[in-house]
Amino acid sequence: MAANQIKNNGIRSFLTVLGITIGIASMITVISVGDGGETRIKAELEKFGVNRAWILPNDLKGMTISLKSQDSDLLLSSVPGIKDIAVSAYRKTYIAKDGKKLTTDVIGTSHGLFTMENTKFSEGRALSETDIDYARKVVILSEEAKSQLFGDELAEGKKVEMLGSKYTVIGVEENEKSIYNSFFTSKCYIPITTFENVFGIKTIDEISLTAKSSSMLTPVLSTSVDVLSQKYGDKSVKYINLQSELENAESIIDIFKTVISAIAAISLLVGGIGIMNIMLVTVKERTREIGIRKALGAKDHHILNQFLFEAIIYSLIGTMLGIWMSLLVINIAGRLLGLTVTISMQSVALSVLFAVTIGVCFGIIPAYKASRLDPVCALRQE
Amino acid sequence: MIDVKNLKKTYGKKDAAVNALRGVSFNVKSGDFVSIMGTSGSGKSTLMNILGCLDRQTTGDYFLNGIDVRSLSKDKASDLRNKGIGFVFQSFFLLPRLTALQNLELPMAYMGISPIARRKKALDILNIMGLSDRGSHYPNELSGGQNQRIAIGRALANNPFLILADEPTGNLDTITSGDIMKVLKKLNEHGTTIVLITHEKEIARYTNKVLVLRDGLFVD
Repeated sequence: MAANQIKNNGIRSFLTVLGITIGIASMITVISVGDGGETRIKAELEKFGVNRAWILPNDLKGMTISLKSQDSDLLLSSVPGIKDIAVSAYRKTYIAKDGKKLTTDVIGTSHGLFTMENTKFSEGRALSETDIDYARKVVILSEEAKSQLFGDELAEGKKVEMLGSKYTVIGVEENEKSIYNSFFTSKCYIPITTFENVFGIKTIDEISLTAKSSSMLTPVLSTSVDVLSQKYGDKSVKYINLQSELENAESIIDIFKTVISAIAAISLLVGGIGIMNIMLVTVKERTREIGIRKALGAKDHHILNQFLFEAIIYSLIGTMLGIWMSLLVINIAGRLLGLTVTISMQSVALSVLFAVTIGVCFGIIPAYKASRLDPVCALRQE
Repeated sequence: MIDVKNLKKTYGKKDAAVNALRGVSFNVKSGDFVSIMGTSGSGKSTLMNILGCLDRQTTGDYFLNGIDVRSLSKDKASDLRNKGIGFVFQSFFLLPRLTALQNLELPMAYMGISPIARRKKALDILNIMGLSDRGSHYPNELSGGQNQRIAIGRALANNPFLILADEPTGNLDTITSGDIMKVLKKLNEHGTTIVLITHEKEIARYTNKVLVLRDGLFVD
């Protein structure tokens, strides 16, 4: 009966529920996309490993110390619980091949880095212990650097010119489309020992390490910092780990969710008022009907329920349209952002509950008005 | 069945007060077919509303089947209308968005009869009214006479002890009016008590007893 009523007023009904539709759609979309983003960021960070941390010199004015590559051996021998450890030093340089030349980051590092990052290779292999021990002139290129220098050809075994001599390409790092990718477009890795020889320095920029389990990370880090502080002095080193980065990302997403949800809530409120408005009009239009129903024996609560039910139906239709619309938007947003977004079932359940609540809250006044109509007056109305 | 004593109804207050009924007394016995005649403004609609438990008298007594109607709560009055009184109105008052069958089922729905049982009863009534092929039609797809038959059927749905018909032929042509009056007459012959309100002598002629109302009082 209520469905009939709503169907017969097609456009009016549609406009009535539009507010609810938009509110619900934006709520579900934001929650779903937010969740998708969070999952993605977590996955990204876990790729680096949440067990992972970096130890760097603390930035003290005029007193900044320099870490040495031997420090990683020191830590490995004196700190229990370290799984992998690697040192890294960064410079910028040119790299050339057959007259093609490009600027790149050159990273001097040890073999531990590749196990730690679980690096995939589209060609060749990681740096080996022997590469490090013998300070071989070998290089691993990023996909980006490789394609600029070699195009579609294979690079493994070929030579490139950099840092004043020829280096053999032993591997190409697979591009994993990391969200951090844009920061390191073109880069190459060489053994830390080679790096030290070429630049004539014995200092490194950071030590990165992973713990055997995430619960061991904090003790491993504090012991490491203690060990290095004994060598270099109090507060000479600091560490960064991904757990805190993850929390940062989550809190940003939460703010985003809260703001949009608040806007969605306002839209739902406006939508609710729209329903109340249309229900008041409906009651007025159907005064005669109410009179007839009462003459036939309808009690106040029958009329109340009838109109309340109608308001809930309006609200539910709006919600269903909203869910449908959010599916559409989520799909598009997922594609644009490159995220795998699944609709949050929790938010769907929540919005249905919300719809019923809105229907009841905003339908109760018109329904009560309808139920209290005097049958004689209602029948008399033209 | 209907026992009315010195019934008065006043609308408005003090200076602006209108005395619609100024003390009417009458009674209707079970099985009667009574017409109440009067011009517009004579108070016949007011009387009809009070008899139908839709409105309440200002003073005086109204007993329906021995029940003092004025003492009933709103819900009890609804129950009484639902089970005991069938209304037939001048402009039919069928719900336009419901089919003929759904209209017939409405009083049964408020009585709490199961959907299957009320559909069956509605089909029976439709058959009796000779409209068995019109069940799925909406009121605007039916003629005036057909609509009034549906409305009479609806009034009969819960087997009421009293039918109140307020100008049931007022919107119909002479021939159809005759048909509708024959339907009512037949119902009365089968034992249903009917109180009919009209301003036409030809219609009142179908009834067994005629009461004439003028300015809120019965005249002989």
